[in-house]
Amino acid sequence: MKKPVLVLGGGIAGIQSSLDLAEMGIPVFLVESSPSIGGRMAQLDKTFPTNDCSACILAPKVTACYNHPLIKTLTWSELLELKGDAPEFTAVIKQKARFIDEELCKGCNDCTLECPIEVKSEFDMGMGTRRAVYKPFAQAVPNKVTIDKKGTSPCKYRCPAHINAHGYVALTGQKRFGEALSLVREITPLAGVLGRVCFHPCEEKCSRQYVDSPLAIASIKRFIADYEIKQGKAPDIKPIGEPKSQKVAVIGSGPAGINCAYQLAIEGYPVTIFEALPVPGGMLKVGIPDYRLDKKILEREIDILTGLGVEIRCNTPIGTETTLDDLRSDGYNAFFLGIGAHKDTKLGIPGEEAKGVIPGVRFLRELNLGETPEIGRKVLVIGGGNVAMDAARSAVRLGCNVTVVYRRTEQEMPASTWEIEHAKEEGVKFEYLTAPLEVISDDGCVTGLKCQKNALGQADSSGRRRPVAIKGSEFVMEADCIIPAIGQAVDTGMFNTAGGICFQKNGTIVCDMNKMLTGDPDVFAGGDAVSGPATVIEAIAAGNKAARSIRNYLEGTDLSVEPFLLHETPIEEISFNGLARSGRARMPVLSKDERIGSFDEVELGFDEDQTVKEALRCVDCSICSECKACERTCRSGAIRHEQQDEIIEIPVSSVIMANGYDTSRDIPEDLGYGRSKNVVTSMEYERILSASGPFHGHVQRPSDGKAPSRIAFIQCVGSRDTKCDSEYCSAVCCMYAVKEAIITREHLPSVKDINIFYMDMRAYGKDFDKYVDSAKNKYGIGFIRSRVADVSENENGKLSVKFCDDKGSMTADEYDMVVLSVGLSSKKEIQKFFEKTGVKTDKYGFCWVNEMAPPLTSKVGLVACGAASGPKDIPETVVEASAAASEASKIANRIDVSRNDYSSYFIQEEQVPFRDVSKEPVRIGVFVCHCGINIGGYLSVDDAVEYAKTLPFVEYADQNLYTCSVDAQKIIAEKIKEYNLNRVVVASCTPRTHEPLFQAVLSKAGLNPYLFTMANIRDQCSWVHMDRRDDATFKAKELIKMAVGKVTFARQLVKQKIEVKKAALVIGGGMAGITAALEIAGMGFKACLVEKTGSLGGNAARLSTSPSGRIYEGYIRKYIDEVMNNPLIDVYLNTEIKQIDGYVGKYSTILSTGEGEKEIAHGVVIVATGADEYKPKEYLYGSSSRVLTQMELEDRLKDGSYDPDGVQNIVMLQCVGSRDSQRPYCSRVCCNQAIKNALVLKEMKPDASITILYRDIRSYGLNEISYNTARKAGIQFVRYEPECKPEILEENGVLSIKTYEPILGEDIKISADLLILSSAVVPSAENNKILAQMLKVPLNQEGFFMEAHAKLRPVDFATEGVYLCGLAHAPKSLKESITQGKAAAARAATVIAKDTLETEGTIAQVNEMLCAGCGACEKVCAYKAISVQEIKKRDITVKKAVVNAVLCKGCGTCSATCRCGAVDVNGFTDRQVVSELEYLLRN
Amino acid sequence: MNEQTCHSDEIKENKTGQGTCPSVPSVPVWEPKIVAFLCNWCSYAGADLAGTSRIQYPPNIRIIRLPCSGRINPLYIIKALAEGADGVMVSGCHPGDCHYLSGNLYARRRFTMLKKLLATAGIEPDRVQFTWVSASEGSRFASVVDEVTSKVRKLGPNKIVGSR
Repeated sequence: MKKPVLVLGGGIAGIQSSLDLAEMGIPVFLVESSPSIGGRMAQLDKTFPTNDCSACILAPKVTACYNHPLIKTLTWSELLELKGDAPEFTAVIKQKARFIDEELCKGCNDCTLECPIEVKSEFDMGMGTRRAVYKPFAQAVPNKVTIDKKGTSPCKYRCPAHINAHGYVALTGQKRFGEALSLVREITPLAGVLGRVCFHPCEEKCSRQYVDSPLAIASIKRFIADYEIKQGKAPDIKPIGEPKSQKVAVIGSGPAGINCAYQLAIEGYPVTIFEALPVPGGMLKVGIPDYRLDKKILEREIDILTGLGVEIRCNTPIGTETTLDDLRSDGYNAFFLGIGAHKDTKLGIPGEEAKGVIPGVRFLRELNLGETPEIGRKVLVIGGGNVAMDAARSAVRLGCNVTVVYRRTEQEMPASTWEIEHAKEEGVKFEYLTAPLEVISDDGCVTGLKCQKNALGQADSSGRRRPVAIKGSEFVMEADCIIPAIGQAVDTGMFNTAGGICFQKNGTIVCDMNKMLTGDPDVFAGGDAVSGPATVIEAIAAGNKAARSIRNYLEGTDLSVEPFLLHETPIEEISFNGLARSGRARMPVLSKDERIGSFDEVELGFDEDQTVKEALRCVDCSICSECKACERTCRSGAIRHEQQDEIIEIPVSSVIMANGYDTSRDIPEDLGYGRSKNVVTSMEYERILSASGPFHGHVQRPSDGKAPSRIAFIQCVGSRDTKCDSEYCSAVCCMYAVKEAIITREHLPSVKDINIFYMDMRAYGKDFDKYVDSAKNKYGIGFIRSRVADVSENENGKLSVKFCDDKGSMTADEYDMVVLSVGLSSKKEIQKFFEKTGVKTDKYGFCWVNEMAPPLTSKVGLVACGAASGPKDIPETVVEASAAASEASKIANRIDVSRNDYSSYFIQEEQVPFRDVSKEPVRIGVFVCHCGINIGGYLSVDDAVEYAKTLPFVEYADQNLYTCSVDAQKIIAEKIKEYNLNRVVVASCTPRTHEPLFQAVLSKAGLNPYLFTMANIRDQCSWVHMDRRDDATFKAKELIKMAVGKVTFARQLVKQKIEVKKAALVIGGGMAGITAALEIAGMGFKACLVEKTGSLGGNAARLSTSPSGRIYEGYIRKYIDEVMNNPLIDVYLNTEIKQIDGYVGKYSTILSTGEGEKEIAHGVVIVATGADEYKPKEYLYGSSSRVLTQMELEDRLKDGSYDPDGVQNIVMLQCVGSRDSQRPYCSRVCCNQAIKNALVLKEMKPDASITILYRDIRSYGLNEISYNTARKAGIQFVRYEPECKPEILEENGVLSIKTYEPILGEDIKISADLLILSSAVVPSAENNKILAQMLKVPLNQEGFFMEAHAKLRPVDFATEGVYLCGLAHAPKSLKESITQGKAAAARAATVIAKDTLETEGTIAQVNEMLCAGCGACEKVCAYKAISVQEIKKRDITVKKAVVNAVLCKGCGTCSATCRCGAVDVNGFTDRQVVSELEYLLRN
Repeated sequence: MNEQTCHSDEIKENKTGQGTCPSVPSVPVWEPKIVAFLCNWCSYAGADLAGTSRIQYPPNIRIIRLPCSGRINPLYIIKALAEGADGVMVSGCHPGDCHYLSGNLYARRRFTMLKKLLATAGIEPDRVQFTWVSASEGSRFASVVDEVTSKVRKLGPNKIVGSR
């Protein structure tokens, strides 16, 4: 195996490079950072200038790339680092967590329909939405979902028990209350309790606070818990684990104990709770007053435990009478101590023992147990915590006059603010800065409290200011009852004697906090008993943690117990875009009057609308909320929420940078983008136009959905703009704007005006000018040469476009919609890599490429293609991609590696010999797929299977959950053997994606893969008739019937093999041909370079300097020498092609050389015949010595005969012979050549006056920089109109040029010592015509060769094995010709790198008996694959059509054309199609 | 309810497309059967996209996949009608999009001719529909099916069947 190449970027460039390399037999790692391949092109609607549907032409390449056995596509991956040097690179790649198992994901989309999180779709440029679990677009490849997850949301992260607040809030927002509640119950049964009493630390971290205020998360939880009650539903929680035998004892039924028991019971353990008090619930029951927590809620949630089989024994204290040892001997295997902190802290002042001093915890307990503590009228509560507030507010409800005595001020009070507020509302008085000194009593009964006033001193260790007593401030407060509430402690008494259990000084239990394990190996603890008095949620967390430890202990597994949690989402990754401020929902409460004298709940809870609205305020910090709806939906179990990023290292021989571009360039504010919805970028507009876009291809204004009547396109947004540091031209915007304008007109004929505001119309590519002309003339698109100053929205919603027209005056016009043609900028995220790897870039961040040896970069072994090295359109990108593949293959070809080193990426399938079934009776197996619920949910698979069994020749029919799963594939193979099947039908999804997979199953089972047919009962049945089950079932049956009808007549097809002659014929010895020959030789193949003149180098040999001003001479010489001396290259000068015979892989050509004829054999042909400079007949050319063409100027500059002295005034005239009626194309090179030569002349003679007369300056792409340099250097640019071309006058031997100056609006006269004509590039029409006939390839109207496809096959011909490069294709620069030469070589190498060519099975076939030899088929074949030939039959010569199996693509146009029915298409034979019809229509 | 009206809700077991209406047992309910010949690259892909996008359309069409619209022999259409199909839909790539360069253009020529012939033979031109659907036009595919189905429904059952 050759050493693999790494291709970075899965756009069209990366795909093309990968496919070329793989076809040459070189393995490729294609690394793409997004979840799917296809890149920008997948987002485009149509492509210019052919208006091809972008998706249609791209999709086959994408699929071919992804399915190629030698291409390993790593999507959702990043190249972090490239270590070492070529060819010993090591690529360090991060495979980002996709949170799914790619092997298992079937791409069915079930999960995306369930996901509650909706975010803006990147693919639709933010104009549509997608879910957190998503495929970027419907046809995305690979067909796998990705979960967009940026860590764990802060709310969930902050919650001590990690209750998934984000998840249940998201589900609540969709009114999926039941699911939301289940999510809470994964952690705790106490949803309703927590919704009321939790101090909700989640809300402290809620990111919504950075917009306005945090969400009322706890109240949302309360709603979903109450909703279940309102619906009259009982909690539906069942153990999920197998029933276990080991028993667990939980001591204490507070929140810690409840949760520990809950989690273990769910696991299947028998649990008994021992509670000392007469009722379960611990502090929840006896510590919290009813007006905060209705005890019915608590009881209901405790009932969940009993429902799970937990036994609760009240009045059963453990420790004294019954010990843990007793329980051990009763068979309990593990223990949890959740005994809480129920002991009061003493005040430590005299008189505390008096009657009427009731500690707060006791007071609340008695109250909650239904007793009525005797507290009299005047009550003093001492303390400032929540227990103090509970006691005070409870006492108020008992009709008392209550004062809270607190030693500091309100600010320092630890109680919740809202509690203090409520207490005040209810009439509780507060005595701040007051410390109790002594309880005053009379006859053992309390009468008052002696107090002392405090002042605040220095801050103490808690950060609060320490109270300092004021001397002499003692006073007495009257009281019937004093309730101290200054703290609680653990009642350790019971366990003093227990073995390994130890206590801290403060009475809490000593625990290993990781495992919640005490000194005894079977005793675990948690809650207040361990932490000291804390919160409910902390107790729950401890209980859960202990439960996990206990399970581990009982199962004897590792005691690491933390649940999996991703990192907390960093704030900078949270999107706050487009959020409007909205207030937090207000909790409805009982009025003050209703509260007094009643223990009814004060907070009434949100209603449904309030809750949903509140939930929808969530900003979705981490995007995915981990609500696990996807996990619940996925039938194939593919979701992996705990997945993590993976770093892999792969040795590669070279790297192709195909990283593409960004469109996120800063848009000048004046243009209204972001301020008005109806100002959109061009990429957004592409999505608007696209049939699969957010508006399904309807042209409409984003603001109101109305069809616009006037649309303006504004060019050069962020391009050709020195202000925003992007002075270069983005190369594609003129054309895509014209395309979008044309498509708009097609989609919306009612649109009144479409105007394009532009500076120069840069239609410099092949057939581009014709496209612009058709936009003007056929589609009525307006072109306004101008500069736009400003776009603003009027009160009437119209957009006012202010612009400076070509006369220099400011005008304004109103439009309904404005499209900004935003330019291309270098990819930001790649810059660091370039820097780290030492790859040179230009100042705009594009990868620097050697202009004489593109696409080589500054680093050996690293090549760049496409927009990585500058803005360019699709064909140029594809050409560069192939050229890059050529360079990469030269390196990879030299190094052999062991396949074992890459065995996990490239699997070699064994070939099993096929069983010959031709003599066997037909035996069909039908496999019907459920596809989870995708098919099974909408039609009856059972019925379909039963029906299939009744069809003729069906020997076996059955169903599978997922027929494409590995298991099901095995079953198919087994059934083929078991039932001796010789035809297979799979009824599932679409053959477009799955046919190759099932064909491979047949092959592995020893059956010819063409004995297979699919019935598409998902994409074309169950999914499109979702609410018509009967109809869908009936249709599925018929589709299966048709498939059976078709497969019955399937034949075993054999792929023929044809030996390849591993040599190339290159026609033309210019730079394109030279480069192609050198590349072919560089890859190790023979090349034969044929040149009709006596020297090599073509036009390039005449050039004096490169566009950047470098001297060419040495370079061109070097190339020529290399060709002449390369042992693999035969050069034939003064030679013409006489005859070409044969076809791809096997050509035989006769050359006519000076010394006679010579026959050569080769496998491929590269056409590089070049073009010439047009010899002008106008402008005194030929009659005045002062008139030269640009090439003649180059000659003089090169041989030194140009004398700058005496040449003061120079005029260059553009578009001579180009863009006129005779040659309606742009010659592409002339603007740049004129600018380059003008700069050279200016440098030779700085005071010379140089004027360039132009129509549009087409210094496309990075050439724009030279244009700017020229203007700065003082070169004059004067525009002329094609209607009034400049006139040349010669008076007394002096030349002058008269031209109409549009800005001045009058004629001007320029005198010229030298007039240089930028003359057109013209093909050598006659030569091309002869060659085209010999090769059976087409020419376009102008006489240039016509490639197979303008966008995606720019160097191929439709006829396989013939390739094209250089000026023979169209005018282009030297750099572009060199690139194309390499590209043609790469394409040619995909053929000659193979020893044999394999034909397709599904190709045309001629029945000679029927063929009349009329040749109708030959005329319609686009591939020249069928031709009428003379065949000898028993001494008679007859004419018959013959199919060339290598060239045939199996389209079948010939077959439908044949009048005798002699031509048929294997795999889609007439018999098969008719059989489908008969099976369907005959009952 | 009027005894004579046959409400679609009442149709039980309409599995053969020739189900009967329970209130008028003798009247079979006619559902048009439409054969669609689609090219693999654009129209079949467009039909798949309608599925992935869950766009609902009438269940009357039966798709036959072919490599190119250029593959479709006019005789297939005649065969379909002769065997009793109530309508035929043919769809290929938009002009210029053909995966095989020009197959769809040959198809267009053939079907223009065929339609004229069918008219001469007394077959309503609306029974045979020729259209373009691209791989990204899922919703267009669905609306074309909608349109074709309703046109054929209006024409009523294929009369050739009875005369066969």
